[in-house]
Amino acid sequence: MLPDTERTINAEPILDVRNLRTHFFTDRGVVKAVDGVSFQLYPGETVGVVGESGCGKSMTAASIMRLVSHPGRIVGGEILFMGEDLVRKSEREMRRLRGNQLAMIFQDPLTTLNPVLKVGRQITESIRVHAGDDREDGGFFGWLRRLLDPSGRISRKEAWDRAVDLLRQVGIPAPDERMRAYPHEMSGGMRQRVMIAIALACNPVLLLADEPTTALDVTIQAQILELMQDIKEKRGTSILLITHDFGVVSEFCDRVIVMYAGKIVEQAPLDELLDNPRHPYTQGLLASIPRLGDKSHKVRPIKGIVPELHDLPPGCSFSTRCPLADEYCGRVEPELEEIAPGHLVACHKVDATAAGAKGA
Amino acid sequence: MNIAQVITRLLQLIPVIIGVTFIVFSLMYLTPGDPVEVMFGGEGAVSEEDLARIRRELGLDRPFFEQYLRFLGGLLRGDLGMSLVQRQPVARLIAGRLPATIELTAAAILVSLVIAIPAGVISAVRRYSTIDKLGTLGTLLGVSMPDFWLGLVFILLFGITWKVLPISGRMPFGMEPEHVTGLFVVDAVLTRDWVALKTALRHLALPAITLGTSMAALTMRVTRSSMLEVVQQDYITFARAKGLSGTQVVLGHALKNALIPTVTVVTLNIGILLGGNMIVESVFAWPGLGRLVVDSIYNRDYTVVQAAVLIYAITYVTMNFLADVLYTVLNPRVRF
Repeated sequence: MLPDTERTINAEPILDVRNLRTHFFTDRGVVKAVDGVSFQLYPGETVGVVGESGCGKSMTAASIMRLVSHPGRIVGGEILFMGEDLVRKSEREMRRLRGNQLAMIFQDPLTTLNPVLKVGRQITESIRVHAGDDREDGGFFGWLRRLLDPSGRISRKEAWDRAVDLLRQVGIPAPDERMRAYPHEMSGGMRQRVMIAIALACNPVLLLADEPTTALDVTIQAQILELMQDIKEKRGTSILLITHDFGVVSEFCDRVIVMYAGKIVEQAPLDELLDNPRHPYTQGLLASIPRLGDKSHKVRPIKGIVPELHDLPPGCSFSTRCPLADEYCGRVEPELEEIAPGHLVACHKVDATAAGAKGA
Repeated sequence: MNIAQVITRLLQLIPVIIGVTFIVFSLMYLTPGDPVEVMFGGEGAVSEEDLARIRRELGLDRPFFEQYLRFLGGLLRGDLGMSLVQRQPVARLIAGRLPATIELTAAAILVSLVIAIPAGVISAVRRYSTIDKLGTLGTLLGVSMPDFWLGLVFILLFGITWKVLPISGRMPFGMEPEHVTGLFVVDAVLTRDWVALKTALRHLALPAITLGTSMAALTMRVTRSSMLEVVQQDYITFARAKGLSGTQVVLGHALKNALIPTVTVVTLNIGILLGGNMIVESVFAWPGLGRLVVDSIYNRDYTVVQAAVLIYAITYVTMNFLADVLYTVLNPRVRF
């Protein structure tokens, strides 16, 4: 499961995010939801993005899909997807990618599936919409033709059969029957499977999964993770998994990115991060996870809350909550530095944290 | 929703309608004024003994409940009584006026939907744009301008200054198409009488636009606000993430959700309009139910007013029922 370091270094990344900045221009000031984020994702790899709510992890995914809504805007950086910069693409070019090579699934399938449309229609639509992509004749009549008949090449019947097949692949029993159901007539786990089926409709190269298991029961979570594991192995899809759950990360990811207040604070291969976390925030996150059956382990929550993103402290954003912070941390912002192969940390106190990590 | 559920709902309407008949009848019974005196035009024209005899013949001396039951029995046979003034069966009078009102209602609703739905959707999708601002201004005007005033302005502009559209009635005398349904537009199409069709549409234009404009204002407002709510939902983001275009997302995903509140407003509006819009029908001399009622109130024609009020109430109840049915069609989560 772990990528061999050779491949990670030699292969071309499928996704190369460079200094991405997505800001929201609100009445209360500029909210820097994503502020200078850079990372790569290699073919077949699964990278977890962890952090508390409001740290910018969902906005990073929304920026990659170019689905940031008003008053938010990508203000800088590049998002190279298979070598092409998504930030510079037109809306029409983005539309061809979305749901095609680039797919996304969301947290709550109850609110993400349209409540008034049958499941079948919602799946076939995502199959048909990209079948007509190559007939991009311009002008009003081209627009009208695409509107009236979004597919060009695929018949309803064909799309229906493929949708049934997709449902079968994501493990839905009696898929023919399920096609005619409304989302509210299904269970949470079923709905999440439907959403995954929709995302897989056009065989994406990259799947962005924004908290795909958070809204589900623990037993269902495990099933969905297993399904995603299966997809990853069978199709070789690269996955960017956004979550706040280290349990999910440790089960599923090859590498982990830890975000705090719109920035990456630590990035490392999974085992390295779990064994040797170096950023005080990562250490805090790991220490705040309860462990079953281990009474000696005491849950130590990180004190305080994520600062308001439009009013960040100067210097290191974490300095207000960090047990190791001194005056220097509150003044100078730390840069992300590589301390071991593939292990990047943004902290002035990196030398001090190594010892602390062993105790955690 | 299946047929059995619709039928159950329909059966539930029966007690409501019986209740309505009781209230209408009681109100008429309690209203001051003597119908028999009205029939014979004021005091002193007919002797007291004759008046008493006529009351007895009409059953007006009977106890309240007996009168009510007779009234109910008549209703079941389609007998709404005789007009005191016009000396004709009320049912026939109303049947003569109903097509005009239905035609005007349908045209007004059509006008309002054609304006309101696109305007509401566009101003929600392009929020704070020029179109949105114009729409808001238009809504404000539409709500603030009283129907009779707007009607008069239209008459002045289109009828008198520019002389492009007729300003009164449904049809010049003798030009009516062959009677099939009573709806001139439909009859003209059915009998392929294109001259009558053109004339009927020209007569419909001003009253329908007058009524439609004020209704469009409210409908657009409701559509806009529910659309604004819908476009922020997760399923809209997900639809965009599938690669659908803005238009496909709005028409295919947002509209059906956004129209749910609109349906309520529109069906209730239909209910109000089918009662006959007294003001607009009067302004344009439209021979519909509204004008019949206004005339009957002036003439103290009790039986006609009573029947009309009853029809209003029943129409309203029916429209409510229709709104419920449409609701379940649009929103599969709603169950009876």
